[in-house]
Amino acid sequence: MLTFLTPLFLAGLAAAAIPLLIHLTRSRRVKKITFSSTQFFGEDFLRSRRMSRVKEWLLLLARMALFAILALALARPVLLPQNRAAHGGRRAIVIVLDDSASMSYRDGNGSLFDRARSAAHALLDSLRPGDRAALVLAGRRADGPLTPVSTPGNPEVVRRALDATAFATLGTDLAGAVARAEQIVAAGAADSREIHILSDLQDSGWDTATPFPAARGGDVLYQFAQVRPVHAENAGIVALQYANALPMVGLPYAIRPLIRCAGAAPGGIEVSLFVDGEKVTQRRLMPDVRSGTLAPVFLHTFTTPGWHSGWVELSPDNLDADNRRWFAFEVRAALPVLAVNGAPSAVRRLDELFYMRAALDAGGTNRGVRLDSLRPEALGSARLEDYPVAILANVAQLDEAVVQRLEGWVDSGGSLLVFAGDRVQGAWYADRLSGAARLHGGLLPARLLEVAGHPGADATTASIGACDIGHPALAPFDDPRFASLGGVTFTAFWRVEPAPDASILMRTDSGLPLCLEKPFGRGRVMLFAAPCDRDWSNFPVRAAYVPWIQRLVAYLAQDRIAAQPFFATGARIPIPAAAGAALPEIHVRKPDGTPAGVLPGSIADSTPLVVADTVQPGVYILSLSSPPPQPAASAYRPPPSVALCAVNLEGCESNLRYLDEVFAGSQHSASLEKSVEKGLQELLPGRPLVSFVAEATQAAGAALRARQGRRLWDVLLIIVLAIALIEPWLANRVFARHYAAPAPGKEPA
Amino acid sequence: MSSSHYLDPEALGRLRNLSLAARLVVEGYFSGLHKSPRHGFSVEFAEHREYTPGVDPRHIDWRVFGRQDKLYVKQYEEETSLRAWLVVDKSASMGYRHLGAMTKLEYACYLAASLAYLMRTQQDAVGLITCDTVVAANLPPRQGPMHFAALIEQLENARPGGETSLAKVLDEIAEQIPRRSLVIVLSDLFDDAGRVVQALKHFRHRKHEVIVFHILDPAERSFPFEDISAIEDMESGRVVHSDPQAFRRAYLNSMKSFLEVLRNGCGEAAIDYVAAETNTPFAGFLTSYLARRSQFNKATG
Repeated sequence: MLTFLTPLFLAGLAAAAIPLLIHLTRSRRVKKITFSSTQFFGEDFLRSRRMSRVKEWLLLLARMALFAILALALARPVLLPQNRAAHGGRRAIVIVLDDSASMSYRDGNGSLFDRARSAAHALLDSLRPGDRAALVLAGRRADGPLTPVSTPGNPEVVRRALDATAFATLGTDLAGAVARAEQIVAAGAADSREIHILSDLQDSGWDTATPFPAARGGDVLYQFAQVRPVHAENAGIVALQYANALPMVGLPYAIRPLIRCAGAAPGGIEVSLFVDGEKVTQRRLMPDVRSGTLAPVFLHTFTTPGWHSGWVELSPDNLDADNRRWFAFEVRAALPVLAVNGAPSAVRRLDELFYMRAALDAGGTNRGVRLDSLRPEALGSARLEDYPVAILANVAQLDEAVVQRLEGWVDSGGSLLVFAGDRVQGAWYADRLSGAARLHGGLLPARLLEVAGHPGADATTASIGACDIGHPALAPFDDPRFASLGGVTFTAFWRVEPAPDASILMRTDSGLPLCLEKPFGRGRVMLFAAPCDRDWSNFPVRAAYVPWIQRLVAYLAQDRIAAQPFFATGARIPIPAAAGAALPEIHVRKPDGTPAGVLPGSIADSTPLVVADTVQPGVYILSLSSPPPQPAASAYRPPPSVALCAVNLEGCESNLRYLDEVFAGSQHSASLEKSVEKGLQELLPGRPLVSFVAEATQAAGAALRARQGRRLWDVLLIIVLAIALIEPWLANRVFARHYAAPAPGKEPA
Repeated sequence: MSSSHYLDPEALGRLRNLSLAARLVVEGYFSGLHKSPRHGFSVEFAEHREYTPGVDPRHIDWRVFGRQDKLYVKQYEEETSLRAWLVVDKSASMGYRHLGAMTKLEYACYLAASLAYLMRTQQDAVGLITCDTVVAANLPPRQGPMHFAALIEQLENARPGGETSLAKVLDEIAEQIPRRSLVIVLSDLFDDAGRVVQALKHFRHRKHEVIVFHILDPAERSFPFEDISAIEDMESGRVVHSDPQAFRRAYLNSMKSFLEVLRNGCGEAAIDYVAAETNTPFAGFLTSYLARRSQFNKATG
């Protein structure tokens, strides 16, 4: 929107008519001259006359433009964003301050966060009485962006909130923070509504996978002011990987930190492993120059059962927030597993459990998993409560009483793993282990339909396709060096219909469900649509079978809180409890020893209690002060009186790649700022007023300029000066050639 | 208008103060510096000279012999055989006057009258031809007051009009002048310069002496107009809408070329080319011209 600060001078536009009037007046003064002869007026004269006319009009236009532009310049035009007041209007600004871990990066000018906060103060200083401000923090939190000042109000309140704010060891949720700021700034009326984002604009801080809601126009000004190091150098631990889901006493347990290095590390990186507070290993490693990553393997043998915790630590660098990563395990002395053998055989290799037993006993110590097997008819008298995991291996069918007993056991916290093979009677499974009439919709996560393929043939019917690498039990299979599921083939498998609450963990190459899981009360059930021996597949003789079955069993044996022992800072820690059951009284202590509150969670996902205050990275201690009464004859194993939970920074916070670098490569604009601005506009679709300031210290001035609009009179005055310089030259071109008297002595003699 | 209308007394007085030599130079230049074969028969006494043997004794002044006892013979100023034609262009363009006191034609007539008077006093025969597209008046060269009066009358009656085809008319005139004569052309010469030069050379080809008084108005030399104008040709009536300021330089260049062609052409043909502007008093102009010619003839012997 074009506006004028001193519109009175626009009256000067009329002065543009002066040259025109003079020209027209002169044009009308046509006088007839009787001349002695026109023999000297040839075609050259007429051609010259036409050119002269053109030049005269050019000169006229130049003179008119000179007056008009001068009048415009004196009127002080500014180009304002649409519907924005130039001066005097009330401003409502929302400052989005990035308090994520990457903002703690320090260089010669202090931390990025301190610089961003200074820029925020400068923005507040630029406000006038009557202007309002609010503050949103962009660290990723479970409840959304933190809003220390959630309603535009007195800037002094924001100033105090800024002073009380420090960076947090959190990931970045810029998109969420901007969305929250939009809500805040839209709530109040103001002449100028502005959202100022002060951030390092880390690439991972804006979730591009979820498109930002589009808008149609709008008058909100979005100004991104960046604070970032010139050359970011950092080494950080982005993840911890483990060889097994469940460490056992006496077994070497592999802990592998994944370290990402950016920038030079001439002396290498010192990596230390701490277990239960003591440094147990320290190495100095050189990162791979090409990939910039390190993945050393630390082997530690736990000697005592129970909960253990520790961390992997790097030597200090510019960004300390990602130099330490915590872990916490419950080390088991031995894991009892009950296996119901539906196809026993005197020939060992033909026994249904032959390969499973061998896989679970891999290593030879037999101290990790203790597999107790029995026939299906003995299941009714087995002590299920002694086992955290039970396996139905190709069991044809069970008595109804046994089924109900299994349902009760799983509902109270047990885990059931079902392998469906040739002995399985599909109709009975469909009737008794699934269906709306059964508890929680039946034990099975899917309804068995029919056998696909040819069980007795050699022809391959399917192979393993997609695998849910986000599942704790299957996550390591993302790395082919860990184990490859690629060569596993099936001659037959059960075609199933997944239950509504089931999640599919593995699929065939044609996309059909192969492995499924569903929660069942406090426990869970997993179904594999093929047997665990070699009858229908070559899986048991593939190398991947050993870690696969070990991880499945270990995963199912873990308490649900331990099923995912690592949480990101800011995320909620769910505390499982059966719906309708008496909730335990749980006390949570944060890594610094202070208590953390426990809040009601979602009943729908069986997490009625959550720990929401997880900003601190480290190990959280969950303890029961008064365990709930244990129902008689129940298999429910209450949570341990003390449980540990590791909370770590998001790994992507270590990736110091910034949006300006991304946009500089993807956008083709005249300048870096324009490229970034264009890229940011694409991130905020439908919002025309997006600007970018490369240096946050200039944010206040840029905001003022943006609010005042683009001053045009400077440019106009330059144009006036240019025309004023050109006009004499043009006039000389027009007149001197034709009008001026010839120099003395040049007249015809 | 009286017969003396064109005779500026002051101009003629100044001319009379010029030496007789000047007149002779003029005559000599006009006539090729020849003496009349009828030398001594002129009625006008010039001087006495001591008698030398061989001189016709009829010219002995006996009265002087009686007083001084020496033989002297009378030396008379002889009448030349000069025949002069004044060719006055009276085409429409000659009627042009911008800010001056007289038109080009008036100026030409003044000049022609002065020259006629001079030649009359020298007993030369002067004729007059006025022309535009055709020859309008033709007075063959004669002497005597009656003829002079008729010539002056023709000049007084000359009115501008008609489109000039000067080169063509000059060609015709060159053919019509039978004897070797002095031809004085008074014109603005507004025609194709090359053809005009060819026509003038036609006179030279027929052994005539030619003097060209190129008479222009000062405005035609400087083109001082400033306002946007419709320029009407006095001869053709053609109207050119133009901004004269825009064309001034081009006009002047074109005029300069025109004059250069004329001047060079006349120089090549031994034609005395004299540029005259109507704002120059014709008497002063004629005086300075004759003086210049006198010095030129002395220098060339």
